[in-house]
Amino acid sequence: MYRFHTGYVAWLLNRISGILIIFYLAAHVWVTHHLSHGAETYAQVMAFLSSPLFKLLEIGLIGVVLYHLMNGIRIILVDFGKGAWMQKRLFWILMAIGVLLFVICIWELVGSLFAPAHAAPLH
Amino acid sequence: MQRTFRIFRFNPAEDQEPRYETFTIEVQESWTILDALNEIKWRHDGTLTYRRSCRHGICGSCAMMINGVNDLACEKQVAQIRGTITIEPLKSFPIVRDLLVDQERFFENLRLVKPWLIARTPPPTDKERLQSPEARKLLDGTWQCILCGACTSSCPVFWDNDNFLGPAALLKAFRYVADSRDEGLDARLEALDSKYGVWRCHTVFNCVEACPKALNPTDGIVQLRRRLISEKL
Repeated sequence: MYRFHTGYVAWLLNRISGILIIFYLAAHVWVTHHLSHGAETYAQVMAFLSSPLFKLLEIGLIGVVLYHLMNGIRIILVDFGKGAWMQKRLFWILMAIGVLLFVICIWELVGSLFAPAHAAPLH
Repeated sequence: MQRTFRIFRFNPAEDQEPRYETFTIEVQESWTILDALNEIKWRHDGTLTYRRSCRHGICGSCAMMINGVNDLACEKQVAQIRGTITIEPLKSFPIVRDLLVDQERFFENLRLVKPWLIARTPPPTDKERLQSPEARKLLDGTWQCILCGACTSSCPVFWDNDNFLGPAALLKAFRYVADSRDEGLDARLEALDSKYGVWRCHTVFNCVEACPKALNPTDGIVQLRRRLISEKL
């Protein structure tokens, strides 16, 4: 640890979000592999995953992925543009866009939770 | 005016652990941190050890951590800091004694990038190797590096593995690679295009924060990367 500053915090969060995304990917592959066990098993797993806890985790996942995406764009601009001279400003601009996208995603997600079409299976 | 200095002390020959010693001394308004260290060494405790030479920000000898910030002791003014002033050696280098660190690795890494002009074209016999003002301007922000080590000492990638060339050596490499008179990229590739070269930088920007000369080593590193990529393509 040298000092807290925008570049350091951005890098640290990028590492943390990257590790979290790896964990998510492993979980995601594990969930989808149930498809090979037949429709019934898969439906059970999906029912388990539709609990409020997982909805909350989903919101967290959106935040983590959006952060990693936005900071990733910043790093690309550093590597392939003039980003090394404006990395702090870039960070805050991209974070603002990220927050906006996050709010839109949450809006959609919360909307889908209360939508009747998803509440009951379509038989 | 009385000021208090909390100074890192460590003598590997005698001490088990480093300790901090506090000195309260009379300082003048215009003094730099180096003036205060000299006052302490010359009038209070002659055993205090630090490296200094030119005392006007050119030699790069007196980089140290002043209240948690890497800076040159000869450029930082006492009046710029409020309260107790904590002075510590640069991080990540082995401590020889007190504020004096062993920068052998730092200079070893610098040697690896061959920080001198490499030209195969023979020089003109009637004049020196000329450079256009535009080409010369491209080097601004690179030649000002005084090799104090403040940036490399702040770099987490260097902490992890000191084989990483580090921001200072890489900025110096860029200073020559970007020089219109230089033809030595091939000779430097082994160091620059290795796993300890330009690709190891994680763009943390600690080096930019730490540089007492307000240079941007990260920009030099990413420009070297672009150069290497375009050479390969």
